Amino acid sequence: MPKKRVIIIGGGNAALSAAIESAERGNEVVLVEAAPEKFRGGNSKYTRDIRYAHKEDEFTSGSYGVDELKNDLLSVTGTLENPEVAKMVLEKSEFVAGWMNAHGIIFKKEIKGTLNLSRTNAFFMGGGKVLVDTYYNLLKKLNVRVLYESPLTSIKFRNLHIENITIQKENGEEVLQADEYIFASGGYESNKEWLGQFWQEGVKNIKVRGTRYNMGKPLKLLMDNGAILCGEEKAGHMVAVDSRSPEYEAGIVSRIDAIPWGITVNIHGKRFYDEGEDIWPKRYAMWGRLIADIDEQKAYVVIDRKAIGKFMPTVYKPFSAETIDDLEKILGLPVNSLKGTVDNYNKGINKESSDLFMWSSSGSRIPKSHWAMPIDEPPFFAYPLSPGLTFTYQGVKINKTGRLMMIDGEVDNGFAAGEIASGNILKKGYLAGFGLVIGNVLGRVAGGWEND
Amino acid sequence: MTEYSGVNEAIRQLSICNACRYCEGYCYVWDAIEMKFIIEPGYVEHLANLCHDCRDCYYACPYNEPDHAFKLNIPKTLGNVRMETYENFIRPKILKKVLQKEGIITLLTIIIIFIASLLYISSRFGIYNFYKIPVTSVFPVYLFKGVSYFIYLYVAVLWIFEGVAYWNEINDGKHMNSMGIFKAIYDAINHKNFWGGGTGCKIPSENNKYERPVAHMMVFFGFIIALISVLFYPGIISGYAGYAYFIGSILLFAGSIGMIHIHMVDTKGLRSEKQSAIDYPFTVLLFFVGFTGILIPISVKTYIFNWNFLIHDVFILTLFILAPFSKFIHPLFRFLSLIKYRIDTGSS
Ligand SMILES: Cc1cc2nc3c(=O)[nH]c(=O)nc-3n(C[C@H](O)[C@H](O)[C@H](O)COP(=O)(O)OP(=O)(O)OC[C@H]3O[C@@H](n4cnc5c(N)ncnc54)[C@H](O)[C@@H]3O)c2cc1C
Ligand code: SF4
Ligand code: SF4
Repeated sequence: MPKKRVIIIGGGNAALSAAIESAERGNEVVLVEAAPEKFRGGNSKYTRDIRYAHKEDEFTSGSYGVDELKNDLLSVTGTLENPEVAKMVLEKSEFVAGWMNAHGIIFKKEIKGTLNLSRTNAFFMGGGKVLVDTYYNLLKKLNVRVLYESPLTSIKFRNLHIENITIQKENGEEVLQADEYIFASGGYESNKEWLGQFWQEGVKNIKVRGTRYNMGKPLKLLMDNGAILCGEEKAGHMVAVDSRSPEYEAGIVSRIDAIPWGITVNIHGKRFYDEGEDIWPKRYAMWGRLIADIDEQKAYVVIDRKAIGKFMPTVYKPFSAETIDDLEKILGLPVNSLKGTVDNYNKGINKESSDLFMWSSSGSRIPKSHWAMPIDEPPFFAYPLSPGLTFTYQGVKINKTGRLMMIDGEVDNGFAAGEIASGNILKKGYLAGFGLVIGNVLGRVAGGWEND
Repeated sequence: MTEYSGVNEAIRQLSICNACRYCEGYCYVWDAIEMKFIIEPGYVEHLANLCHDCRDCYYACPYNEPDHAFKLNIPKTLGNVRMETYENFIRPKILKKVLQKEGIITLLTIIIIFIASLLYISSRFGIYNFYKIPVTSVFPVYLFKGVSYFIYLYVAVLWIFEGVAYWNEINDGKHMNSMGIFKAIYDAINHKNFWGGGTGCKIPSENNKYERPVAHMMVFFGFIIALISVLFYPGIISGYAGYAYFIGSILLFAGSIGMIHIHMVDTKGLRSEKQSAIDYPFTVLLFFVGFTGILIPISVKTYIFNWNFLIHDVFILTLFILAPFSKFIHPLFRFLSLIKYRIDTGSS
């Protein structure tokens, strides 16, 4: 069988999975990554776990069937945008952990009760940086050429066939030609200009949690060439993060999950949403969006001493004060605004149940439906919150073979994998640990993993 | 609570880790950190001494210096704190100077002890006749054992002072118990924290896995075997204790070569420089102890035997005299932190 020449655009989990699969099948593979070597790996560098269908295995605490996984997926995303692709990913997810393990990824096993394994997700040692580094090391052994600092700048189509692509090198552009092209370049989450279409000025206040290199250029080029789009257009997955964190690449550590334990106010010192809404696991993602839509994209979560230790530790220390008045001053909120809000909230608390979960507050127009602990024990603390964008939803449509679907039909030698195609499965919402699985499955399918 | 510069930097870095926890599973540090919401100075020292410097967390971290705004390098930072712990808990305090200039002081100690023994030998036997004297006349059993026991006692007493001071800093009001001690001994023996939770130790480079744990195990067991067999003097020259001593010396020799090799090829700049400055003289000294130890049975009945035996003892004496103030104190702090960890994690 003659070897194919394959070019892979991107340098994260999807691109690497595709490259490994394709090279193992004897193809001649070149991988072009926009980032320099030390910043390689895209958003995949910031991950830590995968969610996959499995029987009982040593990486998780129990079995998790394809149907259950599918139900969980539906509960966050509503309807499946592209059922045949979604079905394939769900079913093939069963092979992901085994494949990763066979390619050098070590999963955490239960070590005498010190690790709390989850049933649905398997955690790998060291997280995403180890994941991508392991794969890159493997590429060396497989003789895959990796071109760093080589962003894709144009794609030459002839009808439904890709003729060649152009990448930007230090000293000018270079045209590359191959038999097949796999686009695995993530979304456009790093591109503030593009995001500005949805948030105008406010976009500057949005923190990008992952890489700064996902500018979405390949996605844009495919759009311009008539790719069918899928996934919700406006923005993406957002969580509440500490406003003091760097604008890019703070990864998982900047998130603040104290919200259920206190109240959250806007820059006018007023509450704006039910902090106790019981919608786990969606709650996490919802607060980023809520904050993105308020003035200055800024909020404060206010808690008291009792809440400390109930949520994950934070990178930055909270602001703290002995009285709400002082806290209000430190935060620069209008005089008596926070004071009034806290008083109303405390007054309206209903502690009828012995279960904290059932405590609620109806002290203002906006209720807090669960976990309504009074905020009355000094010191009082506040974390400043900004929206933290994880990834964007919109991407390109593919078919079961991983090929790109254009308005006129299927591209014979163009594939898409990973986040750029995740809209086929998750048009909105997010299922923790599923991003890597989508990348692994679609990457390998594009790389030649047979479909039956 | 004692405050030091390195500790504050470590608190900054470890607070980021505590919000991240991706490194969970590599070593006890990551389980220990999860027990605290806020990390305080005493606890940082405890974490630093739990760290066995395998660098797995460094290679796993996306937030490392110099490229990321968070500027992390956990192994290096914890190495700096370990140094500060040693300096802070050396008793008598003034002798922390030894640690700060460990290389040169080790050399001077060797020279002084050697000259002193030359003087003793020349006055008793004459330098030229020395090689002919039966070793048990040069080092009569009572003298040899007397000096050995005295020196062990000396180290034990100072270690107790130092250990108690350290324990008081880290114990969080908890009492030592035998379960904790036994489990800590178990951890020390099987080098629990050297293996990166099964992923290996990335010193001297990212591609290594077992070089350092194996080298350290050799030194560790070699030393213990030699230490025990010495009690059978003069049996260490012949007989079963002699074999044991020979094996111990070989392990020490080979292990210290491994450790020296690691030092020479180690990825520069990733390590705490202060740590390297105390590691190196210590390993070189162990190398000479091992080397001269191997020569003992080999040189029996040759004219170098007595000289080699003397020099061997000079190295050993240096090692023990400096034990409470040199790199040699690291097992003490490690061990106490392992005990604390085992007590904190309870019966699991
Ligand atoms: C903080 C954080 C934590 C996360 N945790 C998890 C988790 O635990 N589990 C999970 O499953 N998912 C997680 N996700 C989501 C996950 O990161 C993504 O779903 C997944 O990494 C997407 O992989 P990918 O390969 O498609 O894209 P990426 O990994 O983002 O890779 C895209 C690559 O394309 C390159 N690129 C961009 N433009 C160009 C161009 N013009 N030319 C060439 N190359 C280009 C980029 O440099 C990058 O290397 C997390 C995301 C974040 C931000
Ligand atoms: S060293 Fe880096 S990756 Fe590891 S826990 Fe700390 S912050 Fe996370
Ligand atoms: S022992 Fe290794 S993984 Fe643990 S803290 Fe030290 S360097 Fe990091």
